[in-house]
Amino acid sequence: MQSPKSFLFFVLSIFAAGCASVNAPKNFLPEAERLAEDKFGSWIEISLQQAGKTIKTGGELIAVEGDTLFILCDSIETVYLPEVVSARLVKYNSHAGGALFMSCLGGLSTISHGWFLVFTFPAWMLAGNISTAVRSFEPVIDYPKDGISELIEFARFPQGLPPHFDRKNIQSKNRELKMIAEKRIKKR
Amino acid sequence: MYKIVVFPVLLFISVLLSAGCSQMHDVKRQSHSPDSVFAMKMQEEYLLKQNSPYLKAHMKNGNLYVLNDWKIDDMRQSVSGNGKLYNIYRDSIGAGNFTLRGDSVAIFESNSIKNSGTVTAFTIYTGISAAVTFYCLINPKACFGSCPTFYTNDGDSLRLQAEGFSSSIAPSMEATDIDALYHSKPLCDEYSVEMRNEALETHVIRSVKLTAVEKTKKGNRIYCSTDNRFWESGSAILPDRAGGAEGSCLDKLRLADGHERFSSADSNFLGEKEFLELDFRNIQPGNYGIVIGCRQTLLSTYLFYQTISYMGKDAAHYIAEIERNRIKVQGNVLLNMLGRLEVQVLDPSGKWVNTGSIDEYGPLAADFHLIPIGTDISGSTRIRLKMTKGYWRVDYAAVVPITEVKNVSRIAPFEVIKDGKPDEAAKELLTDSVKALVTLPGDTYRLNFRLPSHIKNYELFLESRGYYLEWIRDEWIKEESPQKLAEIFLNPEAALRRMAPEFKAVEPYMERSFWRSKYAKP
Repeated sequence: MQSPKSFLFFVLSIFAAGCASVNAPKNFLPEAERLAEDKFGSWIEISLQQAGKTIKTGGELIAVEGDTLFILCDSIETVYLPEVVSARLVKYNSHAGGALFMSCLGGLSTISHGWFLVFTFPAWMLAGNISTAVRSFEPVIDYPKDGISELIEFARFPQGLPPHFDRKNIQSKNRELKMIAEKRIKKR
Repeated sequence: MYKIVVFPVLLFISVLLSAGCSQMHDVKRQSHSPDSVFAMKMQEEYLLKQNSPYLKAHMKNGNLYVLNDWKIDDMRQSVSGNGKLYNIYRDSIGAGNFTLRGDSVAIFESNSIKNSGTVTAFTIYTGISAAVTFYCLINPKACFGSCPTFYTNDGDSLRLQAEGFSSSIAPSMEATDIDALYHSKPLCDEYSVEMRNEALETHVIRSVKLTAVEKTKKGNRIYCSTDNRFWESGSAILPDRAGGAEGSCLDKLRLADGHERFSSADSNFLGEKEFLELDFRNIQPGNYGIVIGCRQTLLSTYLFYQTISYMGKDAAHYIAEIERNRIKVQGNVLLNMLGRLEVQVLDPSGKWVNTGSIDEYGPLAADFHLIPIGTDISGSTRIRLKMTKGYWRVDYAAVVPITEVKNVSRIAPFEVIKDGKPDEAAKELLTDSVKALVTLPGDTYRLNFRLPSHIKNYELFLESRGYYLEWIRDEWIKEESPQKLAEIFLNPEAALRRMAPEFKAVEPYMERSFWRSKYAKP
């Protein structure tokens, strides 16, 4: 290690290496404690194989009907299940960064351990790395490893698309989040 | 100086760590068909409500109700609750009280919030040395202790269901302990019990057996009375009214759910008594017993550790002298002063009559005890529990019709697993009545038993025999005081008065500290 900065970078990159990554819009993922009240479906990212090309898409999971997934990006998109190579649904915000922060605090606490720090500091770092990675995967459902039925439970309409459903009028969670943000700005 | 700087820093870090951990939750979502919701028993509904305060109803027309404070009506035909209604596009179109009938609902959805398992593991395993040191420094008498712990599967996860021979703190006190595996759910004819040493103690375990008792009717339960006889019970009669000095505690006693009734110890005298009165109605003539699910608070643990503290560096000598019978002690004098949990029935002449008592020690797992009452009660009956204030945590109380069962099967483990591998030596030690298995802090053994066929007709109990030796901790030795020790043996009442303020200062935090100082191998 050349300097403290490069050491810090090394430690953080070890932490980040094993974590689940998702590209959900800011504030889209609810807190775990608020999921029970959330009226929308969960965020899903899908890799498709179409005509020899790999396509990636993502949005709110609206429903699963037979072999078709309905997801809401800017508008409703349909995805044919046999074309899906992999899909990752994220139930809530894991705050895996919080676990990382706690690991660093734990590492800091070893200042009281005297020479035992040689053992306890790496132990904190190792356990912190594993815990952060595992925590980041806790809210994740990975298809096809996990079954399609597990995805369905987190759709906006787990019962399937309701009758008289008008695709054009559907509102995205993003839009609602934007409206809430705009209202807050106006109040200020 | 070092301590002045480092201690607050450690305290601050610990607070941050525990705050961070407490905010890490995981969510288990479950979908329920309307039929399955309406078929739920009251107890299942109660448990679901405890885990999932919100219930979502996805309607066939696409609307969504998010209900809080929900309940299924008595006729099991509708669900009602307070909440919000969203239309198909998720605009809010109503709020207030709603009643939903099953035919319009497509799916009910529950979301159970639980602590994140990974963060718990992270906290336990990496912080183990810090946690033990930290909590023992602050409060050395709240450290996890008292005997081997036994975990079994309750159909969902491993659950602490029994603690063995809690009062056997020396070889001469070796005893057999029978604990009801009340929440166990054997799914096949093989059954596992995980035995752990989670304290700074040496456990000497002579034997561990399962006792299987056959029921004559599905739905009946088997209980063990304090004289180790087994009784089959019919439908439980739950109390109609229950209360102590604090008022009603009926909701805490009607279900064996870990939601316990307990009080605080008296501020001036730790031996002060209290009463818990229970009213039962509609008792038909017959032979009855009262079932009490309870465990002790940490008052007994505190007093035990305090006595050892006063022995100081001579603790081993004193215990050896008691063992050799050179110091004559009638059991633990302080615990004798605290007394048993006594059951008294109000007779027709208005007198309270003692019918039995519970004296099993242990603060870890609630056990279920049966006290036979006899045939003298019918109609409306008042029963009271007499106990020391702040000494017992009562989870369940019910009157049950009883018939004694003589046919009991005792089953030894056919396999003992240690570190994932069969351990023949440990099996031999546990099954040979002359030998004993010795375990040290952090040791875990899985004991596998072969159950009788038709296991669903049986109730299981765990029978363990042995004793344990407490490890003397540095923090305890500092309080060495032959005078205070003499006071305990010669004038225990005065000792309980003198120790009351000291105990009251730590009482609010003891339970939390105790469970967080469990010893596990990193």
